[in-house]
Amino acid sequence: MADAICVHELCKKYPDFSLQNISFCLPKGSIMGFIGENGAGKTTTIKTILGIAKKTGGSVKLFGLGFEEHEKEIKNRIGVVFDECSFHDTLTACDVAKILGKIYSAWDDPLFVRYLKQFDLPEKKKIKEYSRGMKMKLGIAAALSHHPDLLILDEPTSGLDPVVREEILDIFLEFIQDEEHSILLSSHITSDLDKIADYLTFIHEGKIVLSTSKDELLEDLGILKCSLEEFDALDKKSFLTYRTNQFGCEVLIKDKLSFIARHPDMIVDPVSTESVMLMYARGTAV
Amino acid sequence: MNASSWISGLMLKDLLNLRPMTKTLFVMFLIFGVIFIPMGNVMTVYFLLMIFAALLPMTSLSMDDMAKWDRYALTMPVTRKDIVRSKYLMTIMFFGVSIVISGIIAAVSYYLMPETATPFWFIVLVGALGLFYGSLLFPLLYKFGSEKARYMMFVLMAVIGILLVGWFALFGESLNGNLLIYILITAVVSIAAFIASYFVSVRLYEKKEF
Repeated sequence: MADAICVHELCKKYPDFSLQNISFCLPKGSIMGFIGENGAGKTTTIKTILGIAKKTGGSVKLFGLGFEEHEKEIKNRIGVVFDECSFHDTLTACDVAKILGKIYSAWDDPLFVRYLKQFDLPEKKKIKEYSRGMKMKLGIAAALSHHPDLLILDEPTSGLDPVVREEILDIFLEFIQDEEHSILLSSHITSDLDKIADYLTFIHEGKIVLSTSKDELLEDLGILKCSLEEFDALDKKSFLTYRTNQFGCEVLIKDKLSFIARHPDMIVDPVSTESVMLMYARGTAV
Repeated sequence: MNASSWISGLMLKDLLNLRPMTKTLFVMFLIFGVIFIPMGNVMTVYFLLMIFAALLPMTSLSMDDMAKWDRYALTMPVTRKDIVRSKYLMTIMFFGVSIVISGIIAAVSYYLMPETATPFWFIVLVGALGLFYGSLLFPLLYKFGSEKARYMMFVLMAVIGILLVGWFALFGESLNGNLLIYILITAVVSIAAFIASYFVSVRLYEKKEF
């Protein structure tokens, strides 16, 4: 299976923050959730993949092509939505269509109008008067209306109410019905990712801590609950991170099934996307 | 699809954004025109038009900054060079329009009040000064961002004004005989500065991150 995105050892240095050796691949036909707390490096990674920020090392390939030689071809095939509306306040949805129609070779005006209707977005109203949810939906409509093969979305659902969020997630699921299509979706709203993601990539302090399919993650990882004495006594080879609390200790473990086989008397809870994110963000690495 | 289409998309975006500002400037132009042209002070109106021509593209840059447009534009099938080029082409367009309007004013005022009319060449002079101003301003905007460059805009305008007055004080007397040559030199220098400015801006913009 070909990859829509393949990032290898991507580095980006800032004076106070750096992305370190980011590597992951998004297989065609799937949705990858890109998870991390605020400031973990999600937006920086996306900007560096897109060349909006310059990488200091590593390589990025979209559809197997490098940006240097195939910039316009790649950009014609991607749709991007940022966490904030990128269109000027003084424009209307109609103006946006006129502008993008000249820029994208495959811009589809009737499709855009259909999305506007579906999302209840008034064509003639200034974007200034749109609510946050409406602006987000306009961004998504614009990103979909030039028939992209890949959507790159930076927190498209943050700050939106559950009804709008679900509406948007449905659109993504519809988009992904075509096997040539793929989505990279960064978010810290883990319930959204639970609903739609096939793959999950966790980023923490500028490093990828885990990148795997969601099913594998749920099967392989577990949370062990034990006392501090037990924690000290156990073999730590399958431990990833741990947190202590007043009752004892929570440990994120991999290879859950073999651990349970070795320690049938211990309590191992299943993980959720959220608990994995919290264990990596707030726990201590073993 | 050819390159001109991408550029026209970017320019259309700017023109649509500048609609409200253009209306305001047009009203200002009418008011000043009604006051100054009958007084025979046509030069002031020329200056005003050229300042508008320089001001509009700069305003579009700061509007882009405010909307965080650039990072989005860079995800579209346009290169960084295309984005800068669209701004420079738009500047040429605005100066073209200003020169045409100035020409019409000159023709009308020459017809109605031949005794106070100024030579057509003065339009070229004022246009060249405006273009020179724009040439200096663009790289500053790309280097420092519209927020900081806003103050530089006014400082720069004052500096050019002072230089002009100084120049008139020193060489004003030799102006009468050699006017045409001076105007042509100014025009050539301005056009050269504008072309150089484009290449500097492209380099600055290539390095920019959003």
